[in-house]
Amino acid sequence: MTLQAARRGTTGARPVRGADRSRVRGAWFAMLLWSAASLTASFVLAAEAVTLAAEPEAVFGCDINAVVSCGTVGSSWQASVFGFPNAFLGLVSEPVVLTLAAAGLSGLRLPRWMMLTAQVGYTLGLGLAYWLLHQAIFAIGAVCPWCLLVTVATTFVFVEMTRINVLERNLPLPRAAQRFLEEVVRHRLDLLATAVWLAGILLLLVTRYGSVLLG
Amino acid sequence: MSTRTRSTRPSDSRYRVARRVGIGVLVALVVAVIAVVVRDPATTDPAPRAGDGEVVAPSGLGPEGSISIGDGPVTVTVYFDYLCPACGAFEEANGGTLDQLLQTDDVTVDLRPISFLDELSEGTEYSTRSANALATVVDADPDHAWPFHRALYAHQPAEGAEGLTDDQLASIARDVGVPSEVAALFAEGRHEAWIAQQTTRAFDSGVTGTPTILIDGKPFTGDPYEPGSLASVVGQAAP
Repeated sequence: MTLQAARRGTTGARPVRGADRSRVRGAWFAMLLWSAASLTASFVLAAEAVTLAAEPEAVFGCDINAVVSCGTVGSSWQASVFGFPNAFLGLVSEPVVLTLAAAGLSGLRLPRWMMLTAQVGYTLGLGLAYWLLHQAIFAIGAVCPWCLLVTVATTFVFVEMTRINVLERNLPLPRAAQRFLEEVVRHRLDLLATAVWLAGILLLLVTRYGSVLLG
Repeated sequence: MSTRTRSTRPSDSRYRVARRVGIGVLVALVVAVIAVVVRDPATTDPAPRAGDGEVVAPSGLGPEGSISIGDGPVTVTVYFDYLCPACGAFEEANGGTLDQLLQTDDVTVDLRPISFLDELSEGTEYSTRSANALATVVDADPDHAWPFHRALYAHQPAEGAEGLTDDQLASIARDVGVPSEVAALFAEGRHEAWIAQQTTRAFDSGVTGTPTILIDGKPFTGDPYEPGSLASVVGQAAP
């Protein structure tokens, strides 16, 4: 107990014990993989955006797989909400998440303020990702495979990060809510909810675009 | 899932129920996705209209169902979809050039309208309807096919937006001199099945997208979006 007390003194956090410990580890690992996937997709999209910017007059021809690639998504105003390609945001934020995940996986207990900041930042990122998906489906009328990978990867990173923050009790939550979320995590209901959510989005996509999406 | 040595709280059963409900919803969603994908061929067919199903080619076509404009020695074949923004850019860059080359009898323009972007016009099947309109003009009033073709691009709707209505297409046709009684035929969709067939044939023959431009049957190697780029190549291709 003295060791735990010492830990508490340095990080101000309650130690995570037993099965929850391996849950946290698993979450860090998944977060590592998904942030790597998101980073890869951001790379591809950023490279495309740079090519597009280099020749502003270039209009790429329309593929047979038009729904997935008419060059439409990349040239829309939504593709650079902040005046630069959205993918650049992934390029700067995902490496941070990747580093956090690597640190967490090494067994390091990250300070609460750092995890809270990460949670707030990533929640904003998730919001942007879904706003973009909404725009792509309902305003632009086209989706791109790499953008979809970003959406899915961002979702999983968010879920894993939230799970860690719940188990490590980093979030400023009322006691009852904290207890509830812990039970949700222990019963894997968070994963189930994520699966239901993504299946719902997939249903929306195939309903709107048909099997063109699936090749 | 393994049972853990944890004191079972009374609330545990509630989470189990929630899990069952969740799995049920998930299974239902997956089944729905599969169902949508499986019955997809039905949804990609154009909305039923008069003339649906029966392949009616317009009269006066060249070999392979080409719509030939002009009578020059060099043949410029263009596969296009009226909704494709890249085709619009090609028309903007080279439409005028082709127009001049037609007037000087230097080229024959071989138009190959195809429709594969129907899903990108908010359910209005614009690619098919606009191509059908062109086919209708080719059939009944071939002299106005070329100006109508160019006028369609001048009024090209944005990709992903609602396409022009049949009435709007008719109005564009009348503006370039197509008789009202011909323009009124657009809504019948008489040549839509033919357009669908031409689309399949184009892709079967190796066309992978639009615009695809061939000079005397060989792929155009220049930049189709550079204004006037076709002029020089056509000159060289002439024997």
